[in-house]
Amino acid sequence: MRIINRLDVKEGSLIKGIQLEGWRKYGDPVEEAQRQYKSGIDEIFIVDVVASLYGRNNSFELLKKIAKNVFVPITLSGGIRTLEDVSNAFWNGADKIGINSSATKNSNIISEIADRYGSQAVVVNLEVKRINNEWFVLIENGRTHTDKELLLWIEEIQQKGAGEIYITSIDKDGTLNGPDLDLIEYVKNSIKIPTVYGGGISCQDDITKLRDFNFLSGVSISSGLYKLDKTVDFFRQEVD
Amino acid sequence: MEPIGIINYGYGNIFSVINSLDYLDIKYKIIDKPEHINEFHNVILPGVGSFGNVMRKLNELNFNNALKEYVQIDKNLLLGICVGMQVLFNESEESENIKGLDLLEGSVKKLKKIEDNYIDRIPNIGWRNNYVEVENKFLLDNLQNKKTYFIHSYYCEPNKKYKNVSYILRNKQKIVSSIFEKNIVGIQFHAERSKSQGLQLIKEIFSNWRNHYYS
Repeated sequence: MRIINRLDVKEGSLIKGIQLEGWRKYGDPVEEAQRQYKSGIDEIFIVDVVASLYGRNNSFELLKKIAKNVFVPITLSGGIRTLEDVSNAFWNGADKIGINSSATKNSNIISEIADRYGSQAVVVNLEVKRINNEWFVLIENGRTHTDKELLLWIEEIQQKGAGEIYITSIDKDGTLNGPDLDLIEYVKNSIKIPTVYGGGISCQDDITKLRDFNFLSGVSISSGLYKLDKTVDFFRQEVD
Repeated sequence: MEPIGIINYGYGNIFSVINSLDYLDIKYKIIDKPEHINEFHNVILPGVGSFGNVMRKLNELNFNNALKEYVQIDKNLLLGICVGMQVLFNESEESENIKGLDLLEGSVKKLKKIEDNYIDRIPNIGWRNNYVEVENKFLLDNLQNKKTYFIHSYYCEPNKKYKNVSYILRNKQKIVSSIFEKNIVGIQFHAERSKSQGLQLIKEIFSNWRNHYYS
């Protein structure tokens, strides 16, 4: 299972909250990405947490700085709305594009990106929350609810040609208290494409729990790395 | 080392290739026009996009003919990465109405759909172990048991027996991960995104493969 460093960024700073709220600053994302790269991280996932909410995208410069000295795949998520945004992301060092809010407004953006760049370039960034025993997709980094029921939405994005799913449990985000096994159990039969899980990961045991689900190909860690001041070695059992 | 020309056909992710060459301290130039290919003896054809879109762009900008002429000269080395490797072949199931560059013989096929296990899903994403069956020192040194980053839904299937090839295993099926045929090299994985061993491979290809195939 590959280990992915999720970097939540806001106006150039590395930030993290709990359940996507109450952000605190944790330094410079460029330095953090470099530190994780040097210790052997497999991939970097950058989320501009306000881009979508504010309807802008100014993380390209930051992406460019991160990509300069990091030689693992990089995904940029947050505020990607048009093919021009996608093109900008590629030109500044992204290998993949994460989309969430814009896809919920018009899921054709998935096929448009996939047609031009191939499915493998499109990661759907699912931020999900349990509400009365049902799971729904939230957008704008957990600020706005949608009417997208999770399993129906997963079916739709796969049909549109998404290449990968990056699923975050909002209830677990930043809590460091273990993965959301109910959520993983809930989606496991619906997902047919490679999937990365994030939320609550703080130690090797948490990753061991994910190994029971062989549809998961990666684990996303953010708080567990930069809030706890760890590197990937702390989590690594074996490279696969 | 002589500078490397990077072919820019519009929407390839050339930025990561540029970053890796900067890091390796290798000089490069971006080639926007086909007539400039001949200023180089080292050329990279990067790949992002579908087979059809890449070929349409190469044809439209007339890079197709320029590349075919370029490899006629023995000392010119061409490295195709990912879709940049796939278009070296004759055709692809991804885009059935368009021809490839015909520099290598074979076709590009869709990976078989196997859903039981993540490792066999489509796209094939992640770090996979390369292996080599041929007794070739260059391939053994640079690829044997090296993990590199793959992200693809299609794979190259040569229909001629090429000697210098590396593979990965996907549900017991051998998938070609690289091919070294004289002055034409194709790699299915993203060496520029494969940590230090990937960067090292890029350097080795341009500094040593040429000597190796001449010897």
